[in-house]
Amino acid sequence: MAEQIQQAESPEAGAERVPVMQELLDNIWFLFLVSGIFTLVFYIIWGLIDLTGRPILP
Amino acid sequence: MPIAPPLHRNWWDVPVGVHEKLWIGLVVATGLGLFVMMPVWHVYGAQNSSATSYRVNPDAYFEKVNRWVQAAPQTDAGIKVTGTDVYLVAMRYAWFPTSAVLETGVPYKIHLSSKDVNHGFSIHRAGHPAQKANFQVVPGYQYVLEMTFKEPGTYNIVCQEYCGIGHQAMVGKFEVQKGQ
Amino acid sequence: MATAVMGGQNPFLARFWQCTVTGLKVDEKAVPVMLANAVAAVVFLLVGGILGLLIGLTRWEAVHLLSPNLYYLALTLHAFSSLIFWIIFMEMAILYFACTAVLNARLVNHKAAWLQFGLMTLGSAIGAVAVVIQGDKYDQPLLTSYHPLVIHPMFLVGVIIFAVGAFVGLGVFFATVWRATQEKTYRGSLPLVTFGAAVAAIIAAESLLAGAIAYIWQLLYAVGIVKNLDAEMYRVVWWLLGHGSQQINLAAMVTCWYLLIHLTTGAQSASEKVSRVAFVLYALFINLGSAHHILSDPGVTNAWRIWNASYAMYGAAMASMIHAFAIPAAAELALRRQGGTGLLGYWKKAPWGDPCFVAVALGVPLFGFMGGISGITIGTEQINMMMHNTIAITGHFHATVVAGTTLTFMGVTYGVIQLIANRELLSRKLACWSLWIFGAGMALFSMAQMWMGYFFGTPRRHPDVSSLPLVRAVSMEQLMAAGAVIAFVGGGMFILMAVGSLLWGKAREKGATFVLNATNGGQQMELAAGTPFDAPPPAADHGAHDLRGTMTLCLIFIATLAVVYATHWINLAELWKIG
Repeated sequence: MAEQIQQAESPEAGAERVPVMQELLDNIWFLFLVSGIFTLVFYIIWGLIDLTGRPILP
Repeated sequence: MPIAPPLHRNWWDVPVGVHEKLWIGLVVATGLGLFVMMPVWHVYGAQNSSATSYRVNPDAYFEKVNRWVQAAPQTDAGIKVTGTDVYLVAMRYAWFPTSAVLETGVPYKIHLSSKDVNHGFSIHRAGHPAQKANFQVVPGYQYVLEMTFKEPGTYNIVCQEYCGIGHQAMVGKFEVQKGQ
Repeated sequence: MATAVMGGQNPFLARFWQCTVTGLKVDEKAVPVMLANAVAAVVFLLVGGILGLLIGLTRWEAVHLLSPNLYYLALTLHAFSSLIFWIIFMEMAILYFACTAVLNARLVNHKAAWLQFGLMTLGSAIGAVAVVIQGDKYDQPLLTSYHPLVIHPMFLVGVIIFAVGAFVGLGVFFATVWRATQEKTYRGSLPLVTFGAAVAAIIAAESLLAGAIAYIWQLLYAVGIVKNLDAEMYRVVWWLLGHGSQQINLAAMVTCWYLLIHLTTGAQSASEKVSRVAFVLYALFINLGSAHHILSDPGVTNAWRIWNASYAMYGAAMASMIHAFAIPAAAELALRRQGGTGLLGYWKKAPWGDPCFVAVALGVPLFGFMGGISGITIGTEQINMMMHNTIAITGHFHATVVAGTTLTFMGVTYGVIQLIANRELLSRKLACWSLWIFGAGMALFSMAQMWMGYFFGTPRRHPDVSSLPLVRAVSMEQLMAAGAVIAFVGGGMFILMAVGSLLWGKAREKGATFVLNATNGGQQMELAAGTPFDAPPPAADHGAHDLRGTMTLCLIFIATLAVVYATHWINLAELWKIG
């Protein structure tokens, strides 16, 4: 069992490079941020701009 | 396994099977097709919810509708619409005017707003239950939709946004007569 | 607590026991709060189910059970019990599972988890009681409480407290994941189940934030502090909570599908990349889809509606379709490896006697074919004009949330009872039957309602359609009521089976107990057989994989979508000129 732990660790110790895309997609905090920005900008802000842009009738 | 970290530390570069790629291609094509249908129908289709909206004061709007109704000729079937503007105000618990007489072939501008809470303008062609259109009637907004009726007949209007205990009593109609 | 400690004295101790099925380490302190949430969920399912039956028997005009007053009250309580309380309590249990057991980690603070449970229980009780005793001066909120309906402040207070509790739960989830990452209790990327749960939690955070803004503003208006609240802005912001909460359900349900299909058949995702990218599409775009509730509203532009209601060019819908392939594909690979043959005959090898499998086998097609297809069509800008606020909407979301998510979560409940509470089910056969009956009832119910809405325009949320000058779909009302009764029977069987098993099920053998020095528990974990490092790797050559069964089923799906979609456009073209 101990050998298995060592085997699993050595790819990390070696140069198992993780591609940038994977690093980004693995990062749930980054996803949280981008998701929040998309929702805020496309749905909320754009929507509120539409609504407040309606001309006011007397 | 979904309950363990991926077996390959670098899962990004693990090749994706040919079946998955085929399906993803089909899915992307479907998604884009679905998306494109909407603007295409705006150009080629005759039924779009393109509208003009204004912000209004609910009481001011009610006054405007009231004046318009008082000025319109009254018939047995309802007030007769002489121009191309039809004004409707929804309130707890009625449509005002309750009945209006229109003509086929005229491109009407239907103005909708509410005196109090959200209501729903749901217009159904009598005898043709699959032919209906539904729009939200929001206080503070004047929703102007263009409609041109092809066929004469009764078009029943019910409220389909819950507006309180008397919601089911809100019934109105357009009597559409054969135009010139 | 004097216990043997591996790795020397350390103040941060945690007790784990090992699951005999998965080899995962379960934090002992997480179990009671997981179970408490699951029990609360099932209680609300029962309450919601009873109310649902009463409502169904009212919409069946021949019976017309409830008066308008009671009907609207029942609608409010049914909506909250079934759509909000049952589901979100269950999702809290799922989140706690995903951040602890799946990561072999301990809950960052179990007291905070209990605070979540307490606040959500308190909030739900206050909200429910408020609408029952509020009196005639106030309007029933239903689910949506659209301003400027006159809403009782106590109801709003209850909902806000519930939301705060949910936020606490999300905080516990994220903090637990963060610390597990720091403590290296797992190596590499988050397991798919935890990743999916994290996406659900991200969607939840945004939805709850929007809801908090809407409800707090509405509360300030209700008590007279705020004088102005734009009714359309309220709708736009509220629906970020309204549909956002349903997208949480979607992400959580899909995550559970991966979990359950793995636990029952040993299936693994054929491509981690494909499944994860699909979850990322959810995170990025899915909350935009709330705009499909605003498609027939004044104020917003065509561009806003087309972009958002399509989840940004159907980005998130594509993700659903990708999962719809990936999950049956994983099952197909596993079942063929176990000797399954034939185009679709390999399904015979599946564990149909396992209710956790049946939940996925029913949930996926019901959600996809009935819920997904109706959702895509109703959420199309122009088609929406014919469907908005008809009972077709109700049919759609009973297909997604009830025949899909609720059925799946029933399977999860059966799994929780066996693997977390360590009880055998009283009868696996009856447990399976409960799901079949419930699914069949809900399928009939939804189909009938969609038919009523599509072809008769019957309004939703209406206490007496017989009083309207509209053509009534009498036979559809009967089918809808029949579906409601059948589903009630299935749901009742589920409740009895779940509660009975929890109370009287035979105790299951728990695995060994460990006390770990939690700051380096990752390195000190003893790896049991069946843990990740023991599992045989999936075959490297994907091209040779036989996925023709899944491909067939998915092509049938696309064909069905095309036919239904085209039918709606053809129907729309019959309408008079609008816009």
